[in-house]
Amino acid sequence: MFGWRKFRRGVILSHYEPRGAPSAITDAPLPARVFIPLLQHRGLPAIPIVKYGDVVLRGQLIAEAPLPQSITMHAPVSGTVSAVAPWRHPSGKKITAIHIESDGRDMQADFLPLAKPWREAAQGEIVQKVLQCGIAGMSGSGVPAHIKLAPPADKPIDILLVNGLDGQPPVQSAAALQKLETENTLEGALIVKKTVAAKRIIVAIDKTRTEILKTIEALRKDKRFAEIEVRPVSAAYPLGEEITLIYAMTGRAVLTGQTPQDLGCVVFSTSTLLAIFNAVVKGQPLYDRVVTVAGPAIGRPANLRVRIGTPVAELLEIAAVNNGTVKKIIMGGPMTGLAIAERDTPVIKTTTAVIALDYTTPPLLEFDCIRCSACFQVCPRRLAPTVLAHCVKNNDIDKAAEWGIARCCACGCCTYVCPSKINLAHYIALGNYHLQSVKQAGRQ
Amino acid sequence: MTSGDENLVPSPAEALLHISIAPHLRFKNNVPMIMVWTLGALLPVTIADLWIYGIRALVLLLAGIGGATAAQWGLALVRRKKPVFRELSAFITGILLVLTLPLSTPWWVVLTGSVFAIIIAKEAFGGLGHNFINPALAARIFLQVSYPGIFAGNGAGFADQAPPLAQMQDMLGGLLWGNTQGALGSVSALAVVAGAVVLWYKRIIGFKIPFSFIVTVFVLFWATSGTGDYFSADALVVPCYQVLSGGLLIGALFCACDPVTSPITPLGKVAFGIGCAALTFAFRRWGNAEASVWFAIIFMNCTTPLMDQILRPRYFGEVRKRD
Repeated sequence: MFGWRKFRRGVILSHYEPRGAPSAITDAPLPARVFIPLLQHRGLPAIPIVKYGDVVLRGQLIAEAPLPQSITMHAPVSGTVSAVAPWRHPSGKKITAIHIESDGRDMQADFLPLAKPWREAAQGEIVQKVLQCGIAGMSGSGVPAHIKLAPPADKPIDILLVNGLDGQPPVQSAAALQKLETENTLEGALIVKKTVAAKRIIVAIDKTRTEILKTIEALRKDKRFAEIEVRPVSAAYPLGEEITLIYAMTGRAVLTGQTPQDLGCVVFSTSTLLAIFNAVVKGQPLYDRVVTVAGPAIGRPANLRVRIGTPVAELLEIAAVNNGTVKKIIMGGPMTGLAIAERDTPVIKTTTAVIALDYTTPPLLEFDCIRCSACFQVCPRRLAPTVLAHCVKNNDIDKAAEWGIARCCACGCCTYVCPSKINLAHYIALGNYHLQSVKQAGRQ
Repeated sequence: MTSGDENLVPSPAEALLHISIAPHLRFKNNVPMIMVWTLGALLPVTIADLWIYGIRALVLLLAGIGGATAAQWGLALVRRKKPVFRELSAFITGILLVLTLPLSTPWWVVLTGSVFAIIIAKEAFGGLGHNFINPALAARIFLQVSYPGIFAGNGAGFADQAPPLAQMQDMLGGLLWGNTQGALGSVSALAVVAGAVVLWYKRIIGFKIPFSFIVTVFVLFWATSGTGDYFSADALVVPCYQVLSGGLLIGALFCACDPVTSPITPLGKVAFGIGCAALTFAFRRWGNAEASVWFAIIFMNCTTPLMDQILRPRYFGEVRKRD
């Protein structure tokens, strides 16, 4: 009944080199200055508890999360707080950030792991520890982890889905971490399984990562990990998207108005699981992450372990960016990432990659839609993007809502395949924005 | 490198960056490529025509292509716009129109038809992507109505009634290559199918419309062939003949698959193909068999928006309210 369904929609992104073994992780040198935005997750900003002139240590709490949809922030380097002021953010807006000047010594604050081994701890203690360590969804979703770890009592979870996919081709950060710390990642999965009281763990791994699959199979012989089910999946995009993954792995369809919890599923990425392991077992808060730096304008692509808040310019320098040819810098993957305007935008907790392109995508010059239905055939949500874009151009929001515009997952597959080069994802996003505005106006 | 707010002038090493909305990748297909491949797929039939009919076919083809291209260019000049790749689609319209006409058509009739196709059936409605009926077929119908003498009794398609069974069997081989009766497009079924297979491989035409169209025509004629025993060789002659003649292959593989005028939903495509087939069968059996395929396709083109709306598939997670 819960079979593995072949994911037939979506696209195979052939732009980049074929996948295989991810390259090893190299540590980036200590940055001179870091900028910690107070909003790096999906929810409400954190509240800073430091001010200008305070001396902080690595791992020290610098922002609290009193509001439920918020996470805590920690200093990634030791040094002095030089400002609490707006700074550039990958989303394009300026958001208040804590600026820290590093003193170069990288001294660590005390880390407090859980008092007892996690197998004996209560659910509330684990959730509290995860909250204290400031963990949000690290593969780009940004949902605070402690919220997912404490599902409401009337919605029991029975499947923990582990998303081991990187999603978009040049991004390798998840695979690199899986290769380096396979055992800890699996143990993180067990911690989460205990916390949410799930009954099964299903792990989806890219099937071209044969080394990682072999390591996991070897680990499964150990009785601790024997219950973990591993599914090698093909690298179609956007299989890593939450609702698509749930449907492909479990056959459960999250309908309009539902959340994955309603169907008894919770999805975590492997990077987040590793962060949860580090938080619970070592008491280490989230202050660094692995970022893939790649793209045509990069001379030495690499998976770098960087401190949160490092300006992107430093990563580009390490990876030998070609300043003569670079035209666009994207934070995230090439299909869903945000193009940034300034190179001193900091890496945040949800940045999986930095991609430097030496070309610009075609401008708004579009040809007419020839109704080839390619967009319709690739849409993972079975929408008709060309119809939706038409409705948005004609301001017919009702018809767009009827054809399901609100279900768009913004994967960009439609725009990718359109032969007329129409920016369908853009029109649909615009339509959703209008729809939200209308709904909010209706509420007032 | 980490610039403060006061450093507003970028150094030469740091050029200004482009910003655009995700996705930042595009697949390498584009509309001119689709046009070129379609023209390439029509090449086998065109070559077969030139081979078998010679200069006369060349004259007609030039008249068709020339008329369509001149109309497209002329209209673009009048509107003061630069005609871009759309000239290629005018080529295709011109060639398709000529393929539906018999060899004895005067060249000025072809010219009139192709100009009508571009100006009235396509540009008047908004140009590429906005026409609601297939321009080549619209012109074919226009010529059918305006110059009926050309088609009457000329063996275009085939005349009012199908030939007797024995004659059909003789003609079957000829229909695959070297048929000199009827429209220019039915000169060689093999050439048409070869081109269409290439288009299918390049994913420019789909599988549903041609398959449902041709199979339904075959089944309908097979069921009503009237020879009693359904599996005898005789019973299969009529449906094979009907499928291979009368321009049905050109219609099913090139005209009906025109993406602009056919449905985009999968069920809509199947319904479109079946509808075309049913109408073709009806026209050939009980009506004027001349332009059965073309009338059927035009008819179904008009119902395309309705099909798309009614046969819209459920999107993922849709909860359809039942009133």
